[in-house]
Amino acid sequence: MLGFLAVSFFLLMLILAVLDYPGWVLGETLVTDVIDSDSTYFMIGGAVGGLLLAFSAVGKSGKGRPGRIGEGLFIILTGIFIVWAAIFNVGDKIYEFSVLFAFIAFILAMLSSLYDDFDQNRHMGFGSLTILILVAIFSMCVFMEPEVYQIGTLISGIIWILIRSVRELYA
Amino acid sequence: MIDNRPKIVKVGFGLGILGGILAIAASVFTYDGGSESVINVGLCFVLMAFFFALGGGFARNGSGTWGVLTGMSAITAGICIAMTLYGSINVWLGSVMTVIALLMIVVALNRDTARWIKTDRLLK
Repeated sequence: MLGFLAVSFFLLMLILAVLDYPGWVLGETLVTDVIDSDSTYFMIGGAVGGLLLAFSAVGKSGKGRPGRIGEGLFIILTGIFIVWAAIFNVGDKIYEFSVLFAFIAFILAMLSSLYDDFDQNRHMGFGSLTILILVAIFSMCVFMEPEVYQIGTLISGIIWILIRSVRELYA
Repeated sequence: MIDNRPKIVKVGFGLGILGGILAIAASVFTYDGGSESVINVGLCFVLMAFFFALGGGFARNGSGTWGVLTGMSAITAGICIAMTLYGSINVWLGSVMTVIALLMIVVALNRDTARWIKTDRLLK
């Protein structure tokens, strides 16, 4: 539930930040340009969304399920790094560190989730979706311009967390 | 030899073969004589290998666990989508192959497919 709230709030703040930024064009404007403009919406969205995301993964237990524990741990780290990225100024070393490690932690969370889903054939459908999103993120980062892969990666991540949260609700 | 494959597995086999043939066709259309198109041709060959491997997985004596076939279907679909969006292959061929790959995910996730892979395939 908290994961669902986290991404919903973050998405809402992202949309407000984009609408607030003059001359935004999807696929042609960098997300970092929006952040550079000291957008209050983005700062609030990142801070609150990151906190909620971190709390959503607290308490993930799973005896004999190292993938699930790993997924929870990396989601917590992702949330923390997103909060740091929202709080610290663009251009600070800690900001760049936070963005990079938020991305890395998120990819590791997806890989851990993948391991848990395919282990004993638990959630094959969700595992397939995770693979699709991973391939999409990888392809975008390697082959596309930054204007495309920044927003594409954000949206892919939001979709994954949304579906993961809905799955947790019905699990 | 008894063919006790469910209908959906046979469909998956057919889709795999069809996807492989379309990937070969895509590689021919992609090559334009320049050295840069060789990368796209190589990617088409990767797709061809994945499709034929998936088709083979759904064949009567196919190998591969349920997880492997499902994972490969998802990877194939991801590559098809990426190549189509990036423009590495003809949009129409890419779209058709994407649809085929997505259908193969559905085939792989099906309960009858899972049952056949885990138990019935062992029956000769």
